[in-house]
Amino acid sequence: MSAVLPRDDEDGVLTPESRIRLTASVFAGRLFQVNTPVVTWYAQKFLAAILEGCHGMLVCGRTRLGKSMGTRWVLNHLKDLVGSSVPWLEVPIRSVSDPTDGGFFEYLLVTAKHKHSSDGNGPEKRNRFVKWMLARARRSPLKMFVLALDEAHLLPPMALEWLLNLDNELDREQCRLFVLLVGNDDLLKMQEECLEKTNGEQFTERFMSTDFRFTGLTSEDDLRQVLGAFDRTEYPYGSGKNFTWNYLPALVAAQFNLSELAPAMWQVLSNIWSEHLKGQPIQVPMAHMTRALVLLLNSVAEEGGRERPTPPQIESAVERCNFERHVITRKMSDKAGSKGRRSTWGARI
Amino acid sequence: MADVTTWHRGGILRFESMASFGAKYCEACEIGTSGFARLIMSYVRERERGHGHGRGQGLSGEPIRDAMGDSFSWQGCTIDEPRLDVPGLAKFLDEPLSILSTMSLRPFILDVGASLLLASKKDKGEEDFRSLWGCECCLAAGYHSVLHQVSWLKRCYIHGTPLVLVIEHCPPPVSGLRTDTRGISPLRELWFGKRARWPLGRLRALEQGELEIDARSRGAALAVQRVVSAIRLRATTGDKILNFRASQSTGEIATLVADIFGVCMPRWTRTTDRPKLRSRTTVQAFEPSELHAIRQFGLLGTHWFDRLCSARVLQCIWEDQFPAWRQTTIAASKQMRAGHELCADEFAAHAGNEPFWMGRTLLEKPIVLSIAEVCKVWRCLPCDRTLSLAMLVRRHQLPGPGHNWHSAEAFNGLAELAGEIFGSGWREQLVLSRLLRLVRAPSQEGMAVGETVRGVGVTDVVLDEKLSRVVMGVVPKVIAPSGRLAQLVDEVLLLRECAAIWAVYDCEGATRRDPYLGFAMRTYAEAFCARSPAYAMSMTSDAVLLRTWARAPSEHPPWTMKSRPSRVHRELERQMRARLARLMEGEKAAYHEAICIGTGEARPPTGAG
Repeated sequence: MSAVLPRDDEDGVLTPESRIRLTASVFAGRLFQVNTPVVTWYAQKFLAAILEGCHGMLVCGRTRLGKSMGTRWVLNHLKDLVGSSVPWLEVPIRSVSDPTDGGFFEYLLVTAKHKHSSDGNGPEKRNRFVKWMLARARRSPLKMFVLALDEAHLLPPMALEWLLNLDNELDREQCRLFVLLVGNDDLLKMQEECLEKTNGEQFTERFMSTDFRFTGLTSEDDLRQVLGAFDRTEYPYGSGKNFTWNYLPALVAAQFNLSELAPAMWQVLSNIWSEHLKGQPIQVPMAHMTRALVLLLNSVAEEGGRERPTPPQIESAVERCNFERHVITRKMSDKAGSKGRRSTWGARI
Repeated sequence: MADVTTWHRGGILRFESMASFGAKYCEACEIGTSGFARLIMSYVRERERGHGHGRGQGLSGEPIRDAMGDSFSWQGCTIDEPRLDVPGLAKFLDEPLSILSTMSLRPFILDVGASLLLASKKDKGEEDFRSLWGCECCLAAGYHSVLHQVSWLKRCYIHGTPLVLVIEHCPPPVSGLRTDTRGISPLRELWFGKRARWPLGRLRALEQGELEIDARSRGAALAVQRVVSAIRLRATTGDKILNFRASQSTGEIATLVADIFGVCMPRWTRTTDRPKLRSRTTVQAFEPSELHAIRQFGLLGTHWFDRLCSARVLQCIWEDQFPAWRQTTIAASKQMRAGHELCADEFAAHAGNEPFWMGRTLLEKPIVLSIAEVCKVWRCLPCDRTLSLAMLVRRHQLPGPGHNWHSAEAFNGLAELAGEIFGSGWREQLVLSRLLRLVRAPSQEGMAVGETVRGVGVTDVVLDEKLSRVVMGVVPKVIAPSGRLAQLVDEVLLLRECAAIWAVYDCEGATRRDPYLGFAMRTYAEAFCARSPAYAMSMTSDAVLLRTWARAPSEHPPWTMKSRPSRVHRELERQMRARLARLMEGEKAAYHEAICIGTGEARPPTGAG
């Protein structure tokens, strides 16, 4: 997104059209990522898995917690984490009615934007993908390649064998494949079902030896850190300004920080949570938190952007972010899960 | 985000053949030759794709025929396809464009000029890659060079080992691509097949940077120069090649050049039939025996042949028309020194800052010479020989080797020039030169003087009616100098014309790009120097400058590849400029009182004829 957005000349607040653009880009999914406490732990666990020589890691959690965003943040900062460049590829897995190896590897090639993604038959596509991975892995000082599969619970059962073959191919060339399986809690069921299969241990020991449970915001302190991250993040990139300045330039100039909103916002969130899931540890998905924040900033900006957000504004923003609906859905989901819901692993859609 | 490929930088080595690159690329990306063809074709410019080609031809080879007729047939390399977006392909492969460009045989066939021969190909695979030749050492390292396919090379340019016939009959080229893709499948089989003769192992081919070939190929350019300089021509015996280890003396090159000159630029005597010699501008005008000799030289490109013929024609005109040049060279050089050297120097200085205009034809690039560029040069000249120079320049823009001033294009060009200049109000005078007469066919001599030309002493200025109408239409005042000034003007300019043909390369630039080429150019220059001081050339740090009238050959400083203006050069130049200043001062009045045409204003000329 362009670093320059049209503004109202009088008070420097973004015009409504600019705010819409900015808001849309925040939710677009790839351009704007902040580091949250859970992502920091995620990165540490990921780094430990790499250093320990693991070939895979399971990352699971409920929906809308920010697993994909967190994975992207970790991958984008892989070079900083590991200390040297490591090639990686993020693949959003999609469910297919009739999965084949040719289709699977062609999809991987397409995701990698390979020039010859559709040439040849299944084995040729597989070899092509392997050679592409190897070519990049060889150029890495760590001689490894990270393959991040998002929505991995949608993988067909035979996909693990394909991944195993990839791992063996790279291993034969003295390179390492690291598979990140990111998905919802069905991944844990996938892990259990693998163990029940004959020779399933090779998959679990290789790709699922490490797992990480993704959580949302669990405390006011978490929320404060996340809001602070929004304050520190430059957006749009290249603008030289932080995220908050785009909405409330006057307040930012008056030393306003988003982290000041943490207590009030957390209070509202906790109240909603307690109303439906009292007794359970609170988890606020990043998606809803971000939505509430953007709604709040927009409403303050619409009213001039010179007054600090008031408690009613905060409450209104949280209510409009559909957090309550999420809590209700979760409650119903938990109830269904306790009745033995069937795993979606390998389910056809 | 752009498409990615498994190929990465460093995979292509200098002078690597398309077959070698294609084989390794197909293996790396696990595609067939058809997929490779699709890749290449995707970089053919859309609007030209399919234009001018029949169905199924694609980039199929087009024989390059020279003035020799069918003595040479070159199917061409894929990278030479003019519609191919080579920079885009280089960017996609992440390979330097300069490396990718070396995948062509073209530089070694055409640009090195007449000194490079293509012998008969009966004992060697043709350059159209029907058979594959290679060096065992290179092939074992995963490298096949385009230079291994040149028929006149028997040894590897890197190792010096004899080239071996690897594949006797290569399959047809990939559909849509040129003949150099014939070897893709065979090489892939030889390197990566189940029964690979030189097994490279999977993906090892992409790591050739670690191989010795890579280190050696960096010096390949120089190695090629050594090869080229080792070529020996035996015109009569038809000996075809070429002992790589043969003596690489520059004397051999000089011998070759002298042979060519002997055919195209014969020394004439009193009995030389000059009109006949002057008319021989095409291959058809040569005697069969002469043509045979020329053909034995191999690929004397059309441009070299044309240039030699042009130079010969002009030399004929020059020696025929100017009695002054029938004098001894010493006397002629004295007269030249008194001429307007400064103008020509300025002209050359400005023209020499970039590849000279004429040179563009030899480099087979279009001549783009705008009027503005010409005017820019003119403004730097201290005298008003504008039109003459314009004609000089314009003439080179006309197509074809024949200097046909009768063509409508010539007149239109002249009118356009004159209109451009005078329309801008920059000049009010048009200085005609006897050059007008000289560049016409001799049959035009004796045409009636147009009534627009008046005055005493201008009878030697001949204008035909058509030209006079053109001139009168745009020029308010026309000056036709006579006498010594006119003679000097003409002679200087004509000499410029002659020598300009050979000021075709920025020799410094050529030396940087191609040491051998620079040397070849100088060799030609020396040969011309021996003919006449008109062609004497020297070199500055910037470009080739013409100092035809400044020095007789005997006064040239020693000619070496690193010649620089010496004390002698500088002294002579100082003397020339001083003489010019005196000349200008003394004759300025006479110059402006020369015959004025057009206004009916006649003034007595000054100066003797």
